[in-house]
Amino acid sequence: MSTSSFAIEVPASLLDRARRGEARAFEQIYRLFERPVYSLAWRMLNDADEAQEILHDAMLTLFGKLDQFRGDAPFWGWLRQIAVNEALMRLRKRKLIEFTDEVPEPAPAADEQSGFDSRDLEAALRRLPTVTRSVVWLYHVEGYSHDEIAALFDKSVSFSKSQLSRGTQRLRGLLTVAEGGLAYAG
Amino acid sequence: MPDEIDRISVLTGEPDDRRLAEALRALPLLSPARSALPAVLALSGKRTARTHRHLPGWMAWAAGLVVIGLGLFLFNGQAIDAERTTAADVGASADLQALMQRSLEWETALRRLEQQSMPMDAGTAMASAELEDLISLTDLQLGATENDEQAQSLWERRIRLMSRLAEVRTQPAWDKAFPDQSPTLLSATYPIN
Repeated sequence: MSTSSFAIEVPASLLDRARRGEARAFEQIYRLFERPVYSLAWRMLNDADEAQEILHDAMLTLFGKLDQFRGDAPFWGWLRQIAVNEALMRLRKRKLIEFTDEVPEPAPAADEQSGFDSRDLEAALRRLPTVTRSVVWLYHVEGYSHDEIAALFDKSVSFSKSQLSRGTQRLRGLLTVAEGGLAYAG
Repeated sequence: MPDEIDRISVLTGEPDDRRLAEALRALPLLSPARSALPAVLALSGKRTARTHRHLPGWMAWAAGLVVIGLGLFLFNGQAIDAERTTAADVGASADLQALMQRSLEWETALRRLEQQSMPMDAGTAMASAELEDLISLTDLQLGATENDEQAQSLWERRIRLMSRLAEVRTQPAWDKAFPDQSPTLLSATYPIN
């Protein structure tokens, strides 16, 4: 079972209606996936404006290519791939790897289950280089394999593994281990 | 399979790593500042070559001036007849498309204006934030519309709100350019309910 926030089953009838060009069906699909697409883009690029543009472009691509969806894999996976590709296109346009101490845009609530404030994790995540953060996110949250990540970035499997290792280490360095939980040390 | 082993070792080898992965997955979903739906719907029907939305500085300024001009035009009551248009006047789908297109044009103008990020005073910032909230509310209502008549009314409302948002956002530029005349442009003409 996928841990991805994209993993939403979309009824075939809704997809059929959207394929026929029914605007209300488009709207429903958009509402279902707006936040997963935006969140993925934001996590990868760490930029609200770019995430907004990726949301726009991914949805436009989705609706433009809906006829090409054959239904032999989950719809959400197909849409997620479109969103990841849009994000990667922007990563390639950037000169990659940067650190940032920008003020966090979202204000997440404390995560009682994990025993620490998710704000700390957000802050630590933002300090990772863009590519490293993207690999960490795609692997841990979206469940991509190293092979898949290597293909997405047009790099080797070693690249994916080393980025993941580096990212995890850096995150752990930024989050000091405290009794009963992790706390931000940045 | 080796990949699965890697994943398992990451998740089970170090309790802190496992907790880290779980915590990453538990981070809350984020919401965009505004819906992309209106622009996507407007464009998806007649998709053409995409335009690049990043402008050089001088073009952004030019776009800003255009928005100021539009704001003045609206303020004088010579444009955007959305308020005067009733649902009964028009056949639904063609006019809905036109409204969506107009909404998109305002959205584009506002986005270009945002790129200039002119500093604004607290009152203007608050008015701007409230208008943005109303636009978001309208987007939510658009997602739940039952028929074209309702949708048309909401799209008209969206356009009105965006035009007023443009007026509010151009206020600082106007103040700077014409310090003696600025009060004539805007006087918080939008109703917030």
